[in-house]
Amino acid sequence: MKILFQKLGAIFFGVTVYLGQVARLLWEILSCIFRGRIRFRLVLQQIVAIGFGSQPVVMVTGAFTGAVFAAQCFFKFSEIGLATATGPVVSIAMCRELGPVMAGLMVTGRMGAAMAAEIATMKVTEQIDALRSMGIAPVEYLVVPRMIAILISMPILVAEAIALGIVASDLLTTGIFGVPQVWFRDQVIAQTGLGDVASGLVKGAVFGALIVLLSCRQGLETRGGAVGVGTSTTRAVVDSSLAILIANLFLTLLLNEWLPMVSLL
Amino acid sequence: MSADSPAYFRLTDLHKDFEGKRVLKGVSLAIPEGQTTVVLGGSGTGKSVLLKHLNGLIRPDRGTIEMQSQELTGRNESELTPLRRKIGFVFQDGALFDSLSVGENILFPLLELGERDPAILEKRLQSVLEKVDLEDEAQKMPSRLSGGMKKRVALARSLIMEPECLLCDEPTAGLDPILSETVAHLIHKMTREQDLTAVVVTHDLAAMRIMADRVVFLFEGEVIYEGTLAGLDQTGDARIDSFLRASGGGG
Repeated sequence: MKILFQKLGAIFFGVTVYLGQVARLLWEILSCIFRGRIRFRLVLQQIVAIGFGSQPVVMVTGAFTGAVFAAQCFFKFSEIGLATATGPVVSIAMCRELGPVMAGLMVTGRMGAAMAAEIATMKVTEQIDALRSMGIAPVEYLVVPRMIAILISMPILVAEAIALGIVASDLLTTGIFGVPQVWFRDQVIAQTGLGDVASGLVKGAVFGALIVLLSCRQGLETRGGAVGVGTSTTRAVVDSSLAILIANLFLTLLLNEWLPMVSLL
Repeated sequence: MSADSPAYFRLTDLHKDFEGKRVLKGVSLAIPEGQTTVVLGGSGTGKSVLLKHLNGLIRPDRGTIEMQSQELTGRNESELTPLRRKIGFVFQDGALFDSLSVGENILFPLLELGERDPAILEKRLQSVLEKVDLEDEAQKMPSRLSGGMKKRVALARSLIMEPECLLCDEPTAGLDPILSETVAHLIHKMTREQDLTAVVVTHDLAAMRIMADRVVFLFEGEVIYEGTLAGLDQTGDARIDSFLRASGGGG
C-alpha cells in the first residue's frame, strides 16, 4: 500500500513539474511577444521550415484521408440510398476533425521531432549556454520564432488538408462510384458552413501551439548526451500527439457551441 | 600584474548540489583582475561548475558571487545580460552553432548587438581571425573543423566583443600535446595583449604552466590550494603531489 502511494505521489509530482515547465515556457513566450521581442528573420525561416516544408506531406495526408473516408461512407450510405450524403459528411468531418487532427499529427512527426532534436542537441552541446553567455534569451531566440511561425502556418496547412480531402473525395465519389457531380457539390456547399471551416482553422492553430510548447520544452529540459536527445525526440512526438488527440475532444465540445454546424432542419 | 590586484570575482562560501551530490562545498575565492587564474583539478571535482557560476549560467544553492563588487547571485537573466556581455566564454567543445559558418559564428554576438555595417563587420572578423590564425576558414561549417580549429573559433567568438574577462572551460581537452600547447599559447597571448582577466579550467599541466599567473587547486569541491604557480610544487599536500605526479608534472 505504501509503495502504491509512493508511486502515485511520484506520478503526481512528475505531472505537476511537467505542467509547471510548460506553463513557465508559455509565460516566457507570451512575455517576449507582448514586449515585441520578435526576430522576424527567424520567423520567416521557420515559416519556410514548418509551413512550406510540411505542405507535401500534409496535402497527401489530407487527400488520402478524404478519399478513404469518402469510400467508407459511400459503401455504407449507398446501402440505404443515401449515397449523396457522402459529400457533406466527408466535408464536415474533414473541416472539423480529420483535417486539423491529421495535419497536426503529420506536423508533429515532421517538425515536433525536428524541434525537439535540434534544441536538445543544442542543450547537450552547450549551445544553449553559449546563447545565455552572450546575453541572448534561448526562449526568445529559439522558441518564439517557432511559435509565431506555426501559428501562421498551421491554419494554412489545415486549410490545404481540408481542401485536398474534399477534392479527393469528390473525384472518387463522382468519378469512380458514379454519384452525380452536381448533387455531390450542391450538397457539400449547402451543408458546409463557415463555422465548420473556422473550427478546423482554430483547431489547427491550437494544435500548432501545443506542438511548439511540448516539443521545445522537451528539448530545453534535455539531459545527458545522445541518449537524452533520442529520448527527448521520442517524448516530444508522443506527448504532442497525445495532447492533440486529448485537446481535440475539448475543442470539439467548445467549438460546437461557438461555431455550430449548419442545421439539417 | 601585482599579486595584490583588486578582485574581479569574489566567491564566498559557494555551495552547489546536483541531484543529491555535493559538487561545491563552501568555495571561497578571489579572482584577481588582469591576471590569468587557472583552476586545476581532476575530473569531476567541480571545476566547470565553478566556472559556470562566474557568469550566472549556474546559480549557487548557497553563498555569494561578486563581479567587480556587484552581486550576481540574486539577479535574473535579463539583469545578468549587461554583466555577461563583459565576459567571453569558451566552452569545452566550442559550442559553435552548427547551422552557421565559422564567420557567422564569430560575428553572431556582434550582430545580436545590432551591428549591421558590413565594413565594420568584415574588419572585425578579419582582425579576430588573424589573431587565432584562421584567416581562410571563415566560410567553413563547424562540422568540417578539427578539434583545435573549433577551440580557436570559439576563442575568436568570445574575443570579438572585446570582453574584459575570459572564461575558458578545458580549452585544451581532447587535443594532442602540440595543438594543446598552441591553444594555450594563443590564450596566453590574447590575455596579455588585451589585458584580460582570465579564468581557465583545466587538468592539463603543460597548458597550465603556459597560461597561469595564479593557480587554484580544486579537490572534491573544495579549494585546497590558491597561490602562485611556483608555490604549487611545494605545498607538501599529498593530494596535489599525487595529481602532479600522475599528470607527469611533478616538480
